[in-house]
Amino acid sequence: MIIDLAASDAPAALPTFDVCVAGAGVAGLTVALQLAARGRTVALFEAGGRDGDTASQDFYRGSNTGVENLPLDQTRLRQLGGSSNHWGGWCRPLDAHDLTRSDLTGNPWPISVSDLVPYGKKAGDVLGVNAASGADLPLAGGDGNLQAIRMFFSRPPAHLGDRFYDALETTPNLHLFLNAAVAAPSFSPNGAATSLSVRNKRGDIALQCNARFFVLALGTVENTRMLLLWNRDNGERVANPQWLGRGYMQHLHQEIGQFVLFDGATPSAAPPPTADQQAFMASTESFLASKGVGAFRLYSTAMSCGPLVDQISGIATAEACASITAGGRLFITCEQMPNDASRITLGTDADAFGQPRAVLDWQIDKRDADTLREAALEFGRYLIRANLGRLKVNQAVLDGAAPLTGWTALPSAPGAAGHQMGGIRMSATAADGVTDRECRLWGVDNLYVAGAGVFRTSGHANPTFTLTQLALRMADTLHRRLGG
Amino acid sequence: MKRQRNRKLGEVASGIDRRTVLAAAAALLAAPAIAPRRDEIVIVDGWVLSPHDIARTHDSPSTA
Repeated sequence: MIIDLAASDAPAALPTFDVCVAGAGVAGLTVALQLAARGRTVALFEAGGRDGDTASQDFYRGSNTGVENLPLDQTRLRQLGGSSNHWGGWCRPLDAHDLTRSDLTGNPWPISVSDLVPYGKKAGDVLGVNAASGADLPLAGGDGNLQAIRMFFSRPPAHLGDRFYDALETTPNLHLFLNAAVAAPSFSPNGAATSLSVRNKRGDIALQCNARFFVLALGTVENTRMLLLWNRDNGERVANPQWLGRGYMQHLHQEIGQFVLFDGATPSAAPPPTADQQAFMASTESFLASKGVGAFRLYSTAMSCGPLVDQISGIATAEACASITAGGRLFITCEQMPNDASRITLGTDADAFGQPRAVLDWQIDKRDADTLREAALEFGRYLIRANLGRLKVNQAVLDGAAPLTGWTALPSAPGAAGHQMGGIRMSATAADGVTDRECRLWGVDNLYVAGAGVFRTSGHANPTFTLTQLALRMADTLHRRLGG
Repeated sequence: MKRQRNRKLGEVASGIDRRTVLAAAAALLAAPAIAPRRDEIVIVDGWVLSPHDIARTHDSPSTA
């Protein structure tokens, strides 16, 4: 059932729920619907309405004090379905080696890909994945440093609020409250969370939700903001707060070069995922191990080869220029190297509820420029080895210039997006992160965090698929803890 | 002999239209290919090239 606190009278009191979920975006909807389908009683609170509005979005406003970035209140949507209302529908799970690399954060993820694989099929169902492109295959003529990869797509991109609206309306043991923003938790003397206070945006309705388990699913930045706030106001509930907010990451997207192809050359067996884009290859584990750079994938769009032919023919022999028939622009989506200095904190400005807004100090460094350069050079080597064509690398990339970010990056890279990850990283021990391998907050036994904030590393895969796998796994965990 | 032919065609390729490049290059296709040594690349004006791609008239390319 759906109760809109902007339009309805508040219920006199709420029953005690099995699970209280804050946030009805991809992660929150997934956890809530899975648990409700198994008969659990669930309260799901969405701060926005069914549609977005500027007053609601204003709560996401914050400061970017680091490298150029997109405004925080434009990259995430505070409404039912969350940011699935404007995502591109690109999906891919993280690779196994993304979770096992220990050179990036000192330790690998506390889970392995085998913990996520069982949820892959269902994650695809949740996200409406209905198309795929290519296959994970070694490249003919390559030497194992690059591989063709398969991308999955939700087409048109599923808006999960609409996709599951009927289920939300008709599931009796699932209470969805719209225009209901979570405010603050209460804790028992033994440190467990006992209730969550909720209010509508006018502030004239306040509810107290009691539950056995709580899930924070507000998005990477908002989850971190709330945890920082709650930790500050409730006597350091987070076991090791030094990690809270640190290690914030975004994928980097930009054009890194242009290439020519010889007659008959096809750099991948992968058919184009869209009319004008081709996601076709990615770094392999062995390449990452040898270079120590971030994971990446490369894709291209077609361009006229005429100007490129003019350029290369002034440099290379005619033999090298033989049978050039096509040109392309080369783009990269790559992992940002985890960086403890990249962090989310609380600011001094306050939102309409008087709560401090988020300050995002996103930092990238030379290692990220190295990833772009090594990726470009490796693609250039591949074209030579396989005798497919030749690559011209953008000079700034060769020079190790800082990767493009924010508005500057957008025109350079079709499909670029503000993937927000980290800040609440999961860890094998409390000393090394914020949540445990079950995405449970170290220090609070019954408070879980859903979303990409728990990522230790980001790989090159768009994060939505992995965060959905994690949300499905969390639903299993909670069902089990509830006695299922 | 082959090197001389490459230089000549490389010079021809400079600043001429693509059709001419392709026509000139076609004559070389019959020549036995010389495989570049693995990982040996030369970067000239941003182009990632095999050493065999470079016209001998070009000065001091950077290597990577």
